[in-house]
Parts: sequence; structure tokens; C-alpha cells
Amino acid sequence: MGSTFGTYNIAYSGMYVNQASLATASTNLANVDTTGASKVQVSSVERDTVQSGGTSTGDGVSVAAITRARDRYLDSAYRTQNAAATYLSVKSGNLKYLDKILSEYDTTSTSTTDTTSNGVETELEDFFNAWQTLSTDSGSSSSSNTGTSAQTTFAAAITTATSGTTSTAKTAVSTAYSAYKAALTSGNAATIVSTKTTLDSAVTTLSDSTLTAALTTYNTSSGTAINSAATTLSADITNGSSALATLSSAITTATSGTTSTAKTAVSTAYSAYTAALTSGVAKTIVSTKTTLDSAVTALADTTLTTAYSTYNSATDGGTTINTAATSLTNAITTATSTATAETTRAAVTAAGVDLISTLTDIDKELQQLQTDAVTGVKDGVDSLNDLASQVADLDKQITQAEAGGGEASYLRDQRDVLLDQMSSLANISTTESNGTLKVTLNGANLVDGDTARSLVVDGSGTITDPLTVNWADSGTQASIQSGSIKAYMEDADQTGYATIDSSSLPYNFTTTATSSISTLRQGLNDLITTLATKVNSLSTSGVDLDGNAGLDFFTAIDSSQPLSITNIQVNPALVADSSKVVAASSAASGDNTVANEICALEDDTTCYKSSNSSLDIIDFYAAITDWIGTAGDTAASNYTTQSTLVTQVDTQRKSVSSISIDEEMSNMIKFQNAYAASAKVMSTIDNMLYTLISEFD
Amino acid sequence: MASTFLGLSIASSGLNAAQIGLATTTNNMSNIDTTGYSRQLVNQTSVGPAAVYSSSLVGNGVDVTSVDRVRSDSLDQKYWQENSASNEWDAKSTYLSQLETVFGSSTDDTTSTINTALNTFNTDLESLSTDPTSTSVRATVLEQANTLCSTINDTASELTQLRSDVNNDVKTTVAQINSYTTQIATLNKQIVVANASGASSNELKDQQGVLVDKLSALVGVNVTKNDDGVLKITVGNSVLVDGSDSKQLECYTVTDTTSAEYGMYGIRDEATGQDVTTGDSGSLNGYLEIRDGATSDSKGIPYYTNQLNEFAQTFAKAFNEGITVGTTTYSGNADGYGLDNTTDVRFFSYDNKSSADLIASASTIDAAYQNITAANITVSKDIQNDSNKIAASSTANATSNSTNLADLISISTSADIFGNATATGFFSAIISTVGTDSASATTQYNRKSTITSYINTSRSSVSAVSSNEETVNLTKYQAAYAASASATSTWSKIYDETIDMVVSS
Repeated sequence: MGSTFGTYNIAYSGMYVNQASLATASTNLANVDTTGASKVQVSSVERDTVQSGGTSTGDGVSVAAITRARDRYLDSAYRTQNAAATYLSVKSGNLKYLDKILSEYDTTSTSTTDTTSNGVETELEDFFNAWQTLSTDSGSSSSSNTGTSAQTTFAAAITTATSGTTSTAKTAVSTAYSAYKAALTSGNAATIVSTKTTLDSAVTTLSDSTLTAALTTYNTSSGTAINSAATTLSADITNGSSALATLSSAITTATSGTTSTAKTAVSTAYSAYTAALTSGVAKTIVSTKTTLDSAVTALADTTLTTAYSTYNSATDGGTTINTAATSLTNAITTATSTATAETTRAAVTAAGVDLISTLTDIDKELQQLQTDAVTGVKDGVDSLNDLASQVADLDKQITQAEAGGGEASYLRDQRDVLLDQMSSLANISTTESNGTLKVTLNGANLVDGDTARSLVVDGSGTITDPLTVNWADSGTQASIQSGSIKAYMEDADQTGYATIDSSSLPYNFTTTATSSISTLRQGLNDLITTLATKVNSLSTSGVDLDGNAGLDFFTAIDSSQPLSITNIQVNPALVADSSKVVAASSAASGDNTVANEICALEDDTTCYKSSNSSLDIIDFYAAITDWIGTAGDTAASNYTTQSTLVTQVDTQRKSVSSISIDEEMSNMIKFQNAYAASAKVMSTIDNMLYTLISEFD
Repeated sequence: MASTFLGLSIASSGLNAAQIGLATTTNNMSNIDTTGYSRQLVNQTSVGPAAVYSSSLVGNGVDVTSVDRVRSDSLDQKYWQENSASNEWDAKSTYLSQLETVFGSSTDDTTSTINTALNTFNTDLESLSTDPTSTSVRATVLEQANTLCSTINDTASELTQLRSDVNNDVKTTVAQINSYTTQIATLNKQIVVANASGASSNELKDQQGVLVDKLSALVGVNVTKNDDGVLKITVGNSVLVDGSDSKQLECYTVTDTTSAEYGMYGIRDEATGQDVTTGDSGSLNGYLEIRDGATSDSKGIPYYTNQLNEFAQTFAKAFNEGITVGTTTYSGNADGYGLDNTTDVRFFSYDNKSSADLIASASTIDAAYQNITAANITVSKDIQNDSNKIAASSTANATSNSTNLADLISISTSADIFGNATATGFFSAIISTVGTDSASATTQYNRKSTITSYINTSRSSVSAVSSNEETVNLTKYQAAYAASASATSTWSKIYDETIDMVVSS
């Protein structure tokens, strides 16, 4: 027989357990938005007293344990995957930035006022184009421009011959010369021919032997060429009138009827063209013809297009006239060009300076990025140390709190959040035995119970002094295989960037270096060093404008060090005096050998080698940008995949641990009713006993 | 055994946390468009224990440990670096394009006023060579020579004006730097006070971030942050902000004539009077390079002024005294004879001085020409008063002789009086250098500003307030608040239950 008051205890145990359950549900609800908080549950057990007869008597209920719902294996899976995800996040972020640095330089500038492209590829093309211009420029070879000098001599001869006592003949010469010069400037074919005739006869009349000789030289060099081009153009224009008449009626037909913008454009362009033909100005003929061409195409009238092509192909039609006009313009330009040699030479050095400045700017950004990566490693290790010591502190508190049994879930939740944070820095793993937690980095203890070890970063990140993460106590190297620290360590690694040995070109460029930043730096270094070596060896083989032995085009800023992307400039002597730019292999007139050879470098596939395939400079640069693009895409897609995996594991983990308001609210109702029921039992027993006691009164 | 009212204390901690969450979310929402505002997050943790049941621990609800701002320090640092570089090029390209306007366009020489004036002068000289006795043609030559000189004078004074504009910019920039550093230091102080009193320093830090952004546009800054969030800012060789102290800079006019900054503002520490360096980027550095750059490595206004002076001196000397280029010797105005048979008359001088005064102005002829600058070159008083003194003739008493004039024309047109360039060629080279520099500065600016805005975008993606996210948070915290409120009423019922039990019995 149980004690009379035993039932009180049974009822009370029900109230006790349900109060505990209510408290747990309340604390769950309070933590519904707390990061890393896991659901806490009460497990209760029936309490009974075993009797000597082998029977047992129910003795109410008791709290067996209050534990958090947590799956340790999912935690460990989450941390492994999270380390891999942050590793990829840093890697792909940096690759994206590399691509940004390159593609910014590679695309058309966004500024509305400046639409030129400033990319490396454009700079390279500009550089070779400048050499191309120099190699075809009549004024650039080692001999001076014959057309220009003959003209200068002739002009001087005129001045001399017409000076002194004034005479009709002299005045006639100077007037005729001024008229001729004006005609050349305007480019009017008919006027050139007529003023040249007047000038010729005026010179003959003056019969000054020096002047006559100068005129002959001038005629040989350019005068005759200009005159015949002008004569051809005038004749073509005159002969072309019938062909033009046919076109004229076709134009009239095509532009009649409803007006439209295209029609108006055609008639306007046609009027301008005919006006140009009438005036005979070569340049205007060419430009108005271009406008007319596009206007006719835009109108897209079949009949007109046919008529227009008939006009163009006629013997004295559009094409013939246009060719004659172009050759006249060219002849005048060649004869009257002054200082072109200086300008085209200066253009070569300017293009060189632009190229170097673009490449060194990119390289500076890349170096900065590596410095940032070193900072990333240092910051990461600092955080890891900090987190490790916090984990050790919590371990101590957990041990104390759990000394009486039970689970300090609120402290364990906090510790798990810290461990999650640590997993984004490095590949940690955790084991727990007898309540003591060990956090290990590839087998080495980082945290053991309440003691944490710390890590230090040694080295400056250069090749000779590489960055390592060591244990502060033992000095041995810590093995970090994943997480953001690993990613920054890899990016900060400068191995793979080295001086190019100019004696054994082509350098075989590979993308195997640990750091994509170093790889890119080395690619650009190879690009410019090889180009500089080739251009220099050609430059020093030739002579400059003054016939002196050629100087290097590119020089090292610090001449004690070999050429490299960090140590290169366009030879300041050439920048200061562009006549020192080497275009010729000898002092012979019209020699552009060196300039031609430098131009040929653009398509020379023996210069560059990427992964053992021979490439020319533009393809080599394209290979580098392709690699960055592909590597960036791969890293980005790996990151996406990995972060999806992390999310999945996290979702699984949360399905076990996370606090649901619905669940907790229904628990509240349940426990409240259970509590009420127990209370009812208590009051019922109380009433019973009260009744019993009343019987005695 | 647990306290009777543990349930209420747990539920109230939940209500409190949810309320802070709601307040933070609302604050984020209202600052969605505030410049420099960083999103704030409630950092809360579960706490305990509230009670021990049969040696099992029950937590005591939740505690809000802090409200943190979401901000990436490393992206801030990167932004400051790139922003300084970008603004330096912005400053340079702005002034270089103004220099381009002063000198005329590089693509079309006709807009270059000096070359136009020189060409017209040459044409007039040629007209005179056909008719050396004509007084009217001589008058035209004189008039055009005056135009040429005044065009050079104007260009020089525009350069001086431009340099003084840049100098004013330097002063304004230094004043701005002082204002920003003072504000940053004040905020440092407020942050310390806020931290000590447990108040939030997030808004203060955001304001500070905006100020450092602005400061980084002016000078290259090195920013370090201690654990409290107090910033230390170093610029060049001086610590401008350290805790609540800020160093004030001041501009003073440099009186040292040997300094490149002579007559301009130097920058020094207001307290100690020591000169300070201002780093190697930022718009201030851009202004200083434009203002003081006199070498071919750093082409600022003084460099171009020197070029223009060299142009004026060399041209004046060659025209006056004659010059030997290679093996050809050209006679100058002083070598020939005027219509009135005068000789030894200099055509160009400075400050309207006479030919004799020019020569007397220094002990040697070379030194005398050093007195001529682009700003003061004029036609000499002798020629000014009598254009018949233009020496067209190579011999005395030969009025129709124009041999000397032919030499003068050569000097002015075709002779390489600048070593390897003619007068127009030399000036074209200046124009083309300005053009190249300006284009290159614009390019650099475009590059840097694109990278700066890329980093700013990355930075915003971390710190900016997203209305979607905040709406979700609002719902989340509302639900949490409601849940804790229900828990409170449940506990209240429990207490009723227990009390009823006693009352009823």
C-alpha cells in the first residue's frame, strides 16, 4: 500500500515535468531568430518504485534529460563543404577581378567623349600600326623626303631669283608661284594644270639658270607627277559628262514621287558630287562620292543601283574619276608633306609609351592584389586564432555547466556557431570524447578542451621569403588545405612569376602556377619582355635618321636588372628625340628594312609559345585572356555548385535543429493542458483528502 | 527547482529580442537611400541557464549581444586606394584639357593661335621681300609682328592664370582636408564615448566612412582601425587623425626663390610649421603635379611655360642676331640694313625696350636674351617707332635688296633654329605633347574610375539595404514577437491554474 500522500507527489511530478517542458518550449520560442540555436527538447521518464514482490508501483514522472536536437555528422559535413565553398569564393572573386582589370582595359571606354579603345590588344595594334605607318612613310626613311626638299629648294630659288631689283618677269614668277601654291593647297585639278603652265612659262621668261634648274628638280621629284595626275583627273571629268548625264536622269526618276529622307539624301549627295566635279577639287570629289555611294545604297532602288553601277564601271565613269582624284590628292600630299617624318616617328615612341604604361598599370593592380592576398592570409589567421581561443573559453564554461550532468545546450550552440565560422577560414575537424572537444587542423590540435594553440604567419610573400602559416609554439608548419586562408595563400604565392631569359626565346608560357595572379603577371611579363627583346635586337642592327648606330627601343629603368614588366620603359633618348628611332638598316635612301621587320613581328609565330604551341603576339595575348576567362568561369561555376551543396547540407541540418514556431506553440498548448491536468489531479486528491478529513469532524 | 516565474522571464527576453529586431529592420528600411549607411544586423545568442530540472539545464531565453553593421573593411581599403588614384587623374585630365585649349588643338594647327600668327607674319615677310621699299607693307609686317608678340604674351598669361587657378584649388583642397579630418577626429571621440556608454556607434561609423571616402578623393590615405572602431589616418609622412586629435594643415606662400613652389602655396603643419608631404595620389597630388611639374617626367604648367619661354627667346635671338644651322648661316635683323641705312637694330625685345636697351640689359648678348620671356616679348622700340628699320637689305644704300630679308624668312619658316625643328615645328611639338598627355590622363582616369565603381558596387552588395531582405526580416521578427507573446499568456494561464487550485480548495 502506498502512502496516502504519495499521490500528491505523483501529481506534483506531472506539474514539475510539464513546467520544465513549458520552460523549454518558451526558450525555443525566444530563440527562434537566433543564429545557430538548436531546438531543445525534454525527454521524460516514468518514475516507479519496485516492490519486493517483483511488482512495481507508479511513482509519477521525472525529467530524464533536456537535450538539443543536433546531428553531429551533418555539422561535420557542413564544415567540410563550407571550407571548400569559401576557398572557391575567394578564388573566383579574385579571378573575376582579374578579368575586370583586363577587360576594362580591353573594351571601349564608357566615356561619351572618348570612344577609343584602351585595351592591351588595341595598344599592341596601335604600336605595330605606328611602325607600319613609319615603314610606308616616304619621309621616314634615312634619306630625307625628296619631294619636300625639292619643293623647299624650289621655293627658296624663287625667293632668291625674284629678289633684288623688281622686274615684270620677276613679279610674274612670284605671282605665278603663289597661284600654283594656292592651287596645290585647294587641290583643284584644272587650276593646278593652268597655274603650272603659267609658272613654267614665267620661269622660262625670267631665264634665271638657278631657278630653271630648281624647277627641273622639282618637276622630277613631284611637279610632273602632280601635273599628270591633275591632267588625268581633268580629262576624266570632261569625258565623263555623258555617263554622268545618264546617271542624272536615273537619279531624277528615282527621287521623284513621294518624298522620303533617303530620296532627299540621294539628291543632295548627287548635287554635291556634281558640284565637286564641276569645281574639280580632288578631295571633295572623293568625299562627296563616298556620301553618294552610301545614300544610293540606303535608298535601295533597284533601277538606280543598276544605273549607278553602270556609271561607276563606265570608262570615264565614277570609279575612274575617283581613282584619278585619289592619286592627285596622294601626289600633292607626298610633295607638300612637311615634318611627317618627325610626326610618324614620334607616333611610334608615343605608341610604345602608351603600351608600356597600360601593361605596367595592369601589373601594378596585380601586385596590389597579391599584397591584398597577403593581408587576407594575415587577417584570416588572426580570426582563426581569435575564434580558437573563444572556443576554448566556451569549452571551459561547458565543462563547468555540465559538471552536474545534463547538457548546456545554449553554450554548445554558441560553440557550434564559432566552429562554423572557423570552417570558413580553414579545414577544421572536430572530435568530442568525454565532453572534451578537440578541434584539429589536418590532425594537429588547434583546440584541445580549454586550451587553444595559436598560429602565426611568417614570410613576406616573395619567392625567396614565401608565406607560411606556422604553429606559434612548435614553429612547425600548419597544414591548411581549404578555406579562405588557403585560397589567399595560393593567390599570394609569387612562384611562377620570374624574369624571362631573353637569350632563350620563345619562353614557354604555362598556366600551371599556383596563383592565377602570378600566372597573369608572368603572361604579361612574357608578352612585353619578348616584344622588347625582339624590337631591341632589330633596332640595334640598324641606323637612325642621322645615320648613327641604332639604340635600344625599350630599356630597363634600373639597368643593373634585366628587362621585365616592372623594369621597362621606352628609351628616354628616343622619346626626347624621335629622330633616333631606327627604321633603316643602312644609311641608304628609302631604306625601311628595320621598320618592316618590326612590323613583321606582329605576325611572327616564333616569338611566343603558350603550352608548347607557337603563337604570334596578338594570339598569345588572346590565349592569356581566354585562359583568364575560362579559369574565371570554371571557378565561378565550381563555386556555385559548392555553395548549393553547402546550402543543401545546411537545410538538412536545420531540418533537425531549427526551431519551428508551429511546433513549439502546439507543444505549449499540450504542456499547458498536461500541467492543468496534473493540477486537477492535485486538487482532486486534495478534495478527496479534505472529504476524508471532514468525516472525522 | 526552478523559479516560479522563469517562464515569464524567458518569454520577455524573446519579446525584447524581437522588438530590437523589429526596430533594427525599421531603421534599415528608413535608411535605404542614405549615403554611406550600412545595413545593421541583430546579433543575438541563447543564454542560460534559467533552471535545472533533474540536473538537466534549461536555457534562459535569448540575449541581444550587439547590433552590428555589415561592412567589409578590406573592400573599404581597396575603394580608398582606387578612389585616390581615380581622383588624381581626374584632376590632371581636367587641367590638361584646359592646357590644350590654351595651346590649341593638336589635330588642326589652324586653331593654334601662335602658329597662325607666325604663319601670317611669314606671309607678310614674303610680301615684303617682293617689294622691300613699300612703307605700307612694312607697316603690315610690323603690325603682324606685334600681333605675334601679343599672342605669345597672351598664351603666357593664360598659363600664369591657369597656374594660379590650380594654386587656389590646392588651397581649397587643403581646407577641405582639414574639415574632413576634424570631423573624423570628432567622430572618433564620439565613438569612444558611445562605446563606453554602451550606446550604438554604428551610425557614427557610417558617417565616418562617408568622410573617409571623401578624404580619399583628395589625398591617398592609409587607414588603420583599432578594436573600438577608432580610425588612425596617415597621409604621406604625417598622421592626420589619431584618435580624437587631428592635425590641421595650412597653406603658406613659399618665399624661397629656389623652390619649384616659389610664389605658390606650400603645405605645412599648422602647429609645428613643418612642411608635410601629401602622398602619391588623390586630387591634391594631381593639382601639385600640374602646378609644379617642370621636368619632362612630370609635365606641369611650369614645364610648358619654360617651353614657351624657350620658344620666345630662341626665336627672338635667331631673328635678331642670325643663327647657324648645320653649315648654313642665316643673318639676323641686326646684320642687315633698313631703308634708312640703319644697322645693328634688333627686331624683337622685351617690355618695349629699345634695341640698345636690350643689349645693355646684361653683360653678354646670351644673358640679355635670357631676359626675354613669353610673357614680355615685344617688338623693339626702334622698329616700333620706325618700320623702315626692318633690315631687308644685306648692304647699305640698296633699298631694293631683300637678301637679308630672305634669311629672316628662312629663320622664321624653314630653318631648324631649334636644333632639329623649325619655329612652327617646335610649337607643334608642344601642342602634340599637351595633346598626348591630356589624352593619356583621360584614359588613365577612365580606367581608374571604372575600377573604382566596380569596387564600390562590390562594397554596396555587402553593405546596402535590400528592401526584400528587410521585408522578410520584418515578418520574421513579427512572428517571433507574437510567439513570445503567446508564451507569456500561456504562462499566465499556468499561474491562474495553480492559483485557482489553491483558491478552489
